[in-house]
Amino acid sequence: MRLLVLYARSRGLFAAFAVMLASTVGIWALDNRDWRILLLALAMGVCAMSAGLGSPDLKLDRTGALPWPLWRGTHLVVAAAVVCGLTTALQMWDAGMILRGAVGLAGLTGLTATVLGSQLSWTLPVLWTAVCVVAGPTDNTILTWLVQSPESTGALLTATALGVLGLAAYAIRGPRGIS
Amino acid sequence: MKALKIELRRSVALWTGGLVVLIALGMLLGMSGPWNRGPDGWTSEWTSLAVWQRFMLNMVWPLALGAGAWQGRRDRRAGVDELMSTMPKTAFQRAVPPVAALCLSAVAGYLVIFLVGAVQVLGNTSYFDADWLPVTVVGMLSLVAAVLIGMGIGRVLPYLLTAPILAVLAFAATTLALVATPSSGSDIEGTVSNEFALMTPVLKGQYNPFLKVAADVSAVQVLWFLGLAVTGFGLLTFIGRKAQLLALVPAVAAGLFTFFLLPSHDGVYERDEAASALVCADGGPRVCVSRLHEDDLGEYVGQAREALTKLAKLPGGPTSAEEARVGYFDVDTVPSSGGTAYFFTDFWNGKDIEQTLLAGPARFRCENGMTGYDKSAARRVVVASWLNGESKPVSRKELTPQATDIAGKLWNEVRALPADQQPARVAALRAEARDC
Amino acid sequence: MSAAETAPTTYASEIRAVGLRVRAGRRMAVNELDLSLGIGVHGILGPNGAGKTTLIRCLATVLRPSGGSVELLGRKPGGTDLRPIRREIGYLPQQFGFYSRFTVREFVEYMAWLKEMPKAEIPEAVQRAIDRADLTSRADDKLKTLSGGMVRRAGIAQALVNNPRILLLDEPTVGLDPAQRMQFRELLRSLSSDTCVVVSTHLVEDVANACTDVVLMREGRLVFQGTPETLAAAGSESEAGDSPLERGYSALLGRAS
Repeated sequence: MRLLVLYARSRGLFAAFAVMLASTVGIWALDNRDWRILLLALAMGVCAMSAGLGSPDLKLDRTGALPWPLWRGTHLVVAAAVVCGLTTALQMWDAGMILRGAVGLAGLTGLTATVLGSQLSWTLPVLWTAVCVVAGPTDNTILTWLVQSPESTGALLTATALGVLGLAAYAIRGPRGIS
Repeated sequence: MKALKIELRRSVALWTGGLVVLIALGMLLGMSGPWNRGPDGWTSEWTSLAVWQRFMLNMVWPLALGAGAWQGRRDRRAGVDELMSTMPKTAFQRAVPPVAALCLSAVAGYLVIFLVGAVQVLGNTSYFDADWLPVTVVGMLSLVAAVLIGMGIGRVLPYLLTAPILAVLAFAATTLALVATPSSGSDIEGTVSNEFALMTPVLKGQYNPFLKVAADVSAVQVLWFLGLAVTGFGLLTFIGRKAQLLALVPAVAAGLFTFFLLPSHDGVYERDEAASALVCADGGPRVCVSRLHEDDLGEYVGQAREALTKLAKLPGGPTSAEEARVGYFDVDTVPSSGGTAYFFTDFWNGKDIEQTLLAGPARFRCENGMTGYDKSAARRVVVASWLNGESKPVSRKELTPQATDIAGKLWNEVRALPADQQPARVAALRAEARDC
Repeated sequence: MSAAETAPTTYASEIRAVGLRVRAGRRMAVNELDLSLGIGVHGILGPNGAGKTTLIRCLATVLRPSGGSVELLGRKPGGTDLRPIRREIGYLPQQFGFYSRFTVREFVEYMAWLKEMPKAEIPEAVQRAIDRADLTSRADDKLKTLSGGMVRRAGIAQALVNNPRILLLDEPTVGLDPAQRMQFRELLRSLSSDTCVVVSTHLVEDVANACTDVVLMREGRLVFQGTPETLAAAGSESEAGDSPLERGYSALLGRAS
């Protein structure tokens, strides 16, 4: 338990959780069921999540004896679950849609962390979310997967692919080691 | 200059400029939206280009803000604060190269989009006025303000999460400004006020090329973004918490000031009298289009005169044709009787000029739903078919079964009349063709 | 040659402190220090927490004295316009931060610009500083690709770039290998004829081999100032230490407590 708390502190997870909580409260106060608000909530969630994906000293971390792939994988899954849970708790949107969005965006965040580093891991998820918000639900179910109806196969496949790829890449390779 | 060059090469500046171009052009060229299919498509004329570029700030402005925050955190992240504080150059002077690099890059990106659009506008129309210039200038100024306020906040709050949170909040603000103002017609209309929307840099296309952005709105926005920029620069260069609080003054003052100066409803756009002035063809009968579409006059004259000849059969029928210079949503305000027949030149309504002239424009909105549309469509078909001398009602667009039914009855009713009474009946039908 | 360089000096020593008190946080890290440092290489020695870094930060105009006075090049840096003095100072902080995406040359160039060097002199000065810090072969590599010792040398290069009349180096030899340390001492010797160099270090051997003057500090006060030879002479065989200098160091610090 103590190790977990220290780990959370080293990654700034309490601050990140506070941000998520604040954004959830803000959205609850806004009290609007528009899908754009859902997307903004998810974007805020992955932003907050992104901060914890790296550590102050990656190289030092890697020399640790912990089974890092397991820790990193669990970290990403838990982060996605927290984002999903907090957003679902508002009971404003379809739970399936939230889960799909959280899984896909968390995967994309992990994937971006392995390519650009954890500090910039929020960029691609936020960009893609923004494209979906601006474009709205179009026929291109892959490009606008976030705003498709919960039944859409293309969107589900995209989210699953992003989730699985991101989880695998982040767990196995870890964030890119920029200072 | 040397320092600026180094900053351009090594900071996030070029990435930001590149992304500005990539995102905006990607949306404008790569995706289908009102910007490339409306009567005011982004390459159709200058004001539309300027306004749609401002629309794209929806994504670009948060990007500039986030990049600024990222850049503003650099000195703290790199740990050079102590070394920098021993330099003879003041904090003011030290801030210039990174600020200039990022601002130049973002504004250059905006200019590139403008140039890509401008080349196409030049090919599409020869109409030119300068009303769009303030719109574009405010767009560029808003990017400078975003960079500066981002850098200021990034320096004052040098946390990892500052840049992403700022970017997402800014994106939320610009999005709400576009879709959540009162009477915006979306599910979340009324969430934010018009004043709030105008304090973000985004503008929305109006499906109406005969509008321009009111000059006083642009002037007030200049004031607001200048205040924001000054505060940003202050936060970036002032040392000490008290001085940083002082730096907030320009933005707060400008914010309060502009909030009360900005129009609370529908004052953003005003009619562009120059663009909507009429230009008429030589000879008779009189056929006119707006100055904006002067280039296409020759294309319409033949069809319009042919329609006017047919309309001459009606007692008191129109003797001249004019382009209806209204927006897509205001079609129903075009009069359906009188001495002038109206036509459209735009994407949705401009397909069939002759039909529009003969029977009047199609009804845009009926309170009673489909029954209204069906009645209106049936009458228009009957009028047009009679004028064209068809032997039965002919419609280019497929009618609903109900409309076909009504059209058939009306047709028989008209045909049953003696030949000398038919024109009066058709003229009456034409006058009420667009009633629901 | 600029006018400032040819003008006759009107001060006795480049750095003069009288009754200097400097706070580091709540602690008075430099307390009632009287010091006078002229042209030459001055090594500041002392145990951890003696106030070496605080003194250097004060001399670098990072910290303001909370009591007493300090004069740099005959002027008090307390005034509103520190710029003329800062142009003449080179500083390597203990925690040397740098823009990791810049190349060595770009970083030193940027620093030269920040130090308000005349534009025309910058390229030559940058090259000379990089050469003197022995980074010529890595001049166009990004700083993030350099090893710890090389980053330290990049820090030395940026401190040297404006040909400072006061050069303040806080722990400059950390991370340097023995060969580089010898080269660094060579550099110090070459500077000793026309620059007031202040080097804070905990390595007595650096002092012995490169410094013309030793300043020994303890708890914010001056314990000893003199040549390395005098320091060595202060020790006797009975003191702890492997060399005469170390024995002198131990003897003087022991006596002070």
